[in-house]
Amino acid sequence: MKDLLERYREELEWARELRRKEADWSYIESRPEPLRTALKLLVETGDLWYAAALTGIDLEELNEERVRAKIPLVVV
Amino acid sequence: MDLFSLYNRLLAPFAVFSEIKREPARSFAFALAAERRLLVVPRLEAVDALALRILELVNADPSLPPIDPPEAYALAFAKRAGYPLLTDNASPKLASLTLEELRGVEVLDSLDVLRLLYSGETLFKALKEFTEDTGVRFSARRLRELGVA
Repeated sequence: MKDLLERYREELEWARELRRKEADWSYIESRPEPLRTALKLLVETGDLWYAAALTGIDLEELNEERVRAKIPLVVV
Repeated sequence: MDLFSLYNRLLAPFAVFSEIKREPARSFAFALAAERRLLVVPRLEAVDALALRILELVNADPSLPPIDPPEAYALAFAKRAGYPLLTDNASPKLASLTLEELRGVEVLDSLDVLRLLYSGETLFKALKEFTEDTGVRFSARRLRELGVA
């Protein structure tokens, strides 16, 4: 069980690094608030629902912005 | 659609279905519903209690990635009904593997489903198409283990 959790932890960190690396930061910084914060939250957490709920942005709008900001959804 | 060669129907809890608001996803979901290949599950009190318990259990455990309410509800419904849960979020899968109360719930992500549907070169092509269509990226480690990376 410890190995499984450790493996997932590593995979989630790998996914976070991938999102940070591939995101279009100039696009993200160009967006108005609260969209900018939502996109940054999405990069850090990978959780679309959480980022949308916390910032009050519609889930599907945020997903469309995610695509424009080149933030990958990562399945670990 | 190949997914329906694995499952006759998809069930979407109302909490999840209600988040589909935009085109073309909305028309696609309604077309599936009209063909009765997609059923919307209403909110059920018995599932609510389990969903709340899952939220508490998962979000209280710092070793697990957090779970959000619609996902917790879907996981609770899958547990109660004995159906597999299809989701690309890591949290329900990890919770089902680590929490005693969720033991036995089958949680499958896109990679699991594509692997059930295809093999060899066809799987490789399907993964490439899926990634191009959705922007979803798969774990490099899992792709290596499948021999497709």
